[in-house]
Amino acid sequence: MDTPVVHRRHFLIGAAGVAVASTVPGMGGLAFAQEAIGTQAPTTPLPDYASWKKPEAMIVHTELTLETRRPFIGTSSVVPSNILFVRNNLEPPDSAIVADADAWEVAFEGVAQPRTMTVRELKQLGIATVPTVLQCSGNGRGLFDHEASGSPWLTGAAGCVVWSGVPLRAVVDALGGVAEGARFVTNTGGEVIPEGIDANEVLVERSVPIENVDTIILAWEMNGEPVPLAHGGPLRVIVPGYYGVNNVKYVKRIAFTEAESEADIQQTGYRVRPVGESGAPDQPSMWQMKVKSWVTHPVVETPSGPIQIHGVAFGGINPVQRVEVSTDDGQSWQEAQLLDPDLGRYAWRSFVLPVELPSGTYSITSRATDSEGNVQEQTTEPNHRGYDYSGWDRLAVEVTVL
Amino acid sequence: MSERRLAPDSRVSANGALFISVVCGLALAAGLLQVQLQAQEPAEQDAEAALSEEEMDVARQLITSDAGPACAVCHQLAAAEATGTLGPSLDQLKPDAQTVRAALLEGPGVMPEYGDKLTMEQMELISAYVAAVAGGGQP
Repeated sequence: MDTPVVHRRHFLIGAAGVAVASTVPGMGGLAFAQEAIGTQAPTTPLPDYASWKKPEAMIVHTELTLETRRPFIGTSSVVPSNILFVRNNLEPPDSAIVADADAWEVAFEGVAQPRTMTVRELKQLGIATVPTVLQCSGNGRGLFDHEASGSPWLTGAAGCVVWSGVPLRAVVDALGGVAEGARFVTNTGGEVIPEGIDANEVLVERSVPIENVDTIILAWEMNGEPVPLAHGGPLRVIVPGYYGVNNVKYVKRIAFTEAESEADIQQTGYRVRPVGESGAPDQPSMWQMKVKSWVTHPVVETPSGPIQIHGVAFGGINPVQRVEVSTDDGQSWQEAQLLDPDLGRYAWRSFVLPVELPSGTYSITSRATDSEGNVQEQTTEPNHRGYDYSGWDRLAVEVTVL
Repeated sequence: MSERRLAPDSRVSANGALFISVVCGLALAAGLLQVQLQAQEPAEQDAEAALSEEEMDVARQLITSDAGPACAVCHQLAAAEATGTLGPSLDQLKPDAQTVRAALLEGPGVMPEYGDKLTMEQMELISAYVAAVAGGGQP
């Protein structure tokens, strides 16, 4: 088999440290490849609210943005909480709110009988358990060439986790139904906003189309435990199939509204537009996720002989239908096996392709197709904020088979 | 990087234009230095040296009260006695000037965009100052 020529460009993007590694004598390509995909030791300590994370599994971009290193994602579908990425838009509230989680209050507005309910009361209304992919809008920002502001996430601002909570529909029914004219579900986070700033400038308040009322759950449990503060406990809105930002943490208000939130994060933030344009309400909002997959093993080097290439794939609001794997930079593809269990349309699916590769260097990547026939794109056109790089070209890994 | 707000902004003074030309020179130098990163540290020191005491005072004033909302409401920066905790600590992040400028222009996440709140001159001043005091440019 020929050893394919691989594209190195995307390994050179991101933290300055990567480029330093490539210019320091004695450090070869392997060193910066390792750092680029996150297999080197952490250099920044974990923030207090996430001190329980596994340090060697995390890239600490800032104290509010922690990424899961690519090879730490396994094949049993669910990502353990202690390696799940964290993206907080604002400093989390005081941890006292999770110490007495059942007492947390949520105001329901835009229903026939508006009122405030505690988590304790919500637990009496119904329970659903839903595995979903949580993915930050900026996942893959570090794979774009333009240097968009924000953390240069690679693949690790995503994880599949299992939520338990009350279906929003059950709450709405208990409160007499949705008010007439409502078109959005608008959810407000409970972060404490200091004096000296107009709340709408930093408020985490996101609106999603009202059609989601039948799939949203208000979760108090994640991966079998109360939702940790770092992930939005005591109560988090889960909008299955939607980018992370819509899954509002510490939710304190749920309103059925005629218009989208007035907060900047809704009006001008999280809007997809060409590079150089300002955000505006008429641009697409970061709502439903795209079909996407990537390989999680091997990622740097592996012994020759039998190799189990594996990774994860998801389709946003649609289940994954198939995954193909290429070991020659997309010139040819082989059908991968989807692993059980199938955790449903909003979860990700692990896949595996057994191969035997002689020594050499390979560009390995994967391409997913969802149930509607949407195929993962080859490349992602630049967008101003560097949202969701989904192209299989730069999601490829350069692997040395020893 | 969009600089669409620079030209029509009447708030940019003649002194500002001079300052911008200096800063643009530095930015160009910084861009070239990405190829030769060993030279990055001297560049940071140049950025700091480019700021007079008076300019540093202006930068601190912007950061602590005038930026609207002031950087200090959300960010920590010990050199300016900024103690905000809502957003990332600049002392921990140690951004370079380009990173600060991009953040001011784009407003990543929930951070406000400052392109219509500050002049380009003011943003360059803040960027150079933050890079100098938090970005590893200390002597």
